[in-house]
Amino acid sequence: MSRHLAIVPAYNEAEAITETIASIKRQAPGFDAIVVDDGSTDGTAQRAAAAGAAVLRLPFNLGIGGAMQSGYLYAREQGYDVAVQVDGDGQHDARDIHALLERLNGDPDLNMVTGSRFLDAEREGFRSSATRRIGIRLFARVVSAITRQRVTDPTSGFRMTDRRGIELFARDYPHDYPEVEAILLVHSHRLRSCEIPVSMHPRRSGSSKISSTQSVYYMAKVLLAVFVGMFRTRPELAPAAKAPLAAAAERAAP
Amino acid sequence: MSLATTQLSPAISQRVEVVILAVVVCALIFELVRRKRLMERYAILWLVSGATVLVLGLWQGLLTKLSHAVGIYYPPSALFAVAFVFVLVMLVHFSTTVSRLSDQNKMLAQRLALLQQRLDRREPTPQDAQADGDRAKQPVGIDSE
Repeated sequence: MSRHLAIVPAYNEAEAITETIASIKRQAPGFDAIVVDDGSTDGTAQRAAAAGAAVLRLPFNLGIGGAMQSGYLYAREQGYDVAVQVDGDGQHDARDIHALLERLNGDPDLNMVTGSRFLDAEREGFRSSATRRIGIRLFARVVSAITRQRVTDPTSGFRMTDRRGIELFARDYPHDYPEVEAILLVHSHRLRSCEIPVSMHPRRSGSSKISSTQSVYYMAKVLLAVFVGMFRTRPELAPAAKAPLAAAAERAAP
Repeated sequence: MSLATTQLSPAISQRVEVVILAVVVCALIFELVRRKRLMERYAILWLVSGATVLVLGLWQGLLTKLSHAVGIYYPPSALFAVAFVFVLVMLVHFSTTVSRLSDQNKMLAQRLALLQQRLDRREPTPQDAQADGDRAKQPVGIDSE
């Protein structure tokens, strides 16, 4: 029987985390939950543990990329076959986990399924602010052109991967604002991905961590990463360690 | 006017200042290494720069010759150009070092979190056990040490 894991990154999400965990348990009972507490100061870890999730406590804030990768390291270490990312702030609807899993299991060649807010125009749901949608559309064009397949929601963090995806992300995951780069990483490692339509909610509490100055940095950083990424050599078969440093970590790992 | 100042032309006193500066830089780097505040790896670059300034200060015609050889007719410009490139190389070097360190830092944090999670599963820390204790009285295994 294959084992499934929900990775829930959370930074100061004490208000939302209990309900997020509860809805995963309710809507996706086959999934274990691991909360990656990215250096929260508001008791997120305690509430997550009380809600019945396993908790990885990072000693300080690593940012979403580093936190997410911790979840994949855990998934690899514990031998999970499928991992799904679910935001700790309640944006992702745990009801869609089942649809993601069905799509992933339905096609043996598929390694990653992303939940897209924009794939089904008829669908109700939160679609981010107007200015952000401009940025998302730009990234969607760039990513679609590079991967030569239609990508409508490159900034969606609602993603499910199989074992090969877990192993890839455990070895190599983009640092900050990782979503766009992660799609390209999967593509450059010759893994196959697709999107299915989902609905998202506005954040349950707190505010987004990206301010307007940060969004300028976001755009510049991601575009640079995408551009440089195009010049990296493409591995042919299995996901390979990108840097000598990552390879050293492989050896250190038990 | 003392005898010494009348004997030293401005060019020579400038050279003395340059030599003193170079020696001070080398001595400072040496002292930082001695106190283990600076690793040898990074000291070498600074010592090379100090030595370069020292040689240029002592060997008067060298800078003029070198700059004329590459077609720069105002020797200080040549010096500035070399110094600028040197500083640039150092800064790029430090940027890569910072990148490597933050990557290593990230890996350490992740590994620590994974190990702690594994440990917590076996033996909760006293604070956690206390928090859990309200719901279920669990024996604490590590207080006995």
